[in-house]
Amino acid sequence: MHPTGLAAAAGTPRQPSKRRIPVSQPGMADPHQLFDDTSSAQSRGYGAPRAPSGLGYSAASTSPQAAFLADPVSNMAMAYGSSLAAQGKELVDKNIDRFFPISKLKYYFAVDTMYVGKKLGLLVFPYMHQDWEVQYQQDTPVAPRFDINAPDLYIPAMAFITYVLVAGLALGTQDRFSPDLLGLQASSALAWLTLEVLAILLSLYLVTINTDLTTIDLVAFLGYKYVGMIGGVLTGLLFGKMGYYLVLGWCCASIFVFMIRTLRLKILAEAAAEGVPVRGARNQLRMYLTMAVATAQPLLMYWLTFRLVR
Amino acid sequence: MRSHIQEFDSSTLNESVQNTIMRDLKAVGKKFMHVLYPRKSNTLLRDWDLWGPLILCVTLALMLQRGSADSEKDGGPQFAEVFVIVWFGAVTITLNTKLLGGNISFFQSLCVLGYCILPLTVAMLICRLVLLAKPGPVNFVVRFFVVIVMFAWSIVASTAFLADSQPPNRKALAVYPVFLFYFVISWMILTFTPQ
Repeated sequence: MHPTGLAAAAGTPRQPSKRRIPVSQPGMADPHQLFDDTSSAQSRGYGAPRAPSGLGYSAASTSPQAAFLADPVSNMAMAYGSSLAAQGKELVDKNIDRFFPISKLKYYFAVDTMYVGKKLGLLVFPYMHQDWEVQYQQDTPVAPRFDINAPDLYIPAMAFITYVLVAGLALGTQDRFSPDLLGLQASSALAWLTLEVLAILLSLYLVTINTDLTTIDLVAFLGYKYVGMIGGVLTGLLFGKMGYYLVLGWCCASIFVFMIRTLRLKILAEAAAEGVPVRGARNQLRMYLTMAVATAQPLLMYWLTFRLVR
Repeated sequence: MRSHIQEFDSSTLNESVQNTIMRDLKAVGKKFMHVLYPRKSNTLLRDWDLWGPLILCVTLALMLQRGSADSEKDGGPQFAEVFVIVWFGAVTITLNTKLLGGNISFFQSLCVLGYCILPLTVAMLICRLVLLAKPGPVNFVVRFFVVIVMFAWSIVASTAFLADSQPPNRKALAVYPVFLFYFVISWMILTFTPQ
């Protein structure tokens, strides 16, 4: 009753006849035939109904050789488990890719040491740089490794983490430190960043600018101000309030210029970007938006750091 | 053949608990030796395990925690805080290495970073012993020196294993977050004062 019941249950619409054939072949070849079916890629969806039926068959056919019972069962369990694991991994990868586009992120981390050095220099001294265009290569922007104007996420991410740690250090020297303050600083800075990104996305939507500025690009540009903040706080720790104001002032001015020159190319129309002033309400609006974004940077830099330096 | 198959199947299930524990402890101890004398070898990477990092992290967190009897504003980390900082820091560094394009797997990187906390744990032990003596600037200087040396040792040890997985023009980028991570742990060790 048991094997026949299982045969009926395993009579899946796919291959019912394949189920019946092994019954007539007793002996060792029988379990191996079943295992080939279970572990093949095309029958992945049928792993579940096959497994109990395979178990029933192997029990029926190998009961005379009880000593080999452990081997086929564990082999089949391994095959079933590995197919299930592969299935699960595929599902997880697909879902994660929906929320965090990993392949797109890899572009922003395609950096090398020279790029990072030059970009940091550009963030602190953008006045001499002439060409702010991002180079393209057949419609896709070139990786940051090859073009200093391309945005990247390595510098903003590292700067953010360093800023949180430096803030903890600064609070520690004032005896106001406790580890949960680190978490507090991190989440408040993250909240301000999210707010900025949402505000700019909203204004871009309201002013109906079609630009190729993606959200991740925006996060990268807005994350560059943490470099200046770190410089300011470190100088403030070493040289007191005077040093803090000097370095912060310098970094505020340079990030202002940097943002204007970078965003001008992305937000403003082609003609205005080349320096020719174009009349018209739309371009005025775009100009105001760029100025607003660039002005918000120094303000936020001061707001997030002035409490750390005494 | 029958007995051979049976033995292979149940080889690690039927042995005594002592055998299993001794085998795992020996593997952990071998990796400790590799960390203490960092050479370019693949042992840490090839057979990674997370027992060593767990033991080290728990030891460090136990030694670093404050009693909750005193006021919370006294500034010492609790056990959970140290644990979270170590493991989330390690996960972040691993993500960064993978995004930069390194060819090292997730758990291998966690294993290396965890094992390289060993010098800092030794520094914590030494600091604890030094703190038993009378407090003062000499005390602080000795502790500072010990922590700096162990910090440098940790970075050198982890760089010996991790930097190989990156192309040469990106090694510094992968080492910088490791520097930050061990800096945070060293800072916590250095500022530890017992009640």
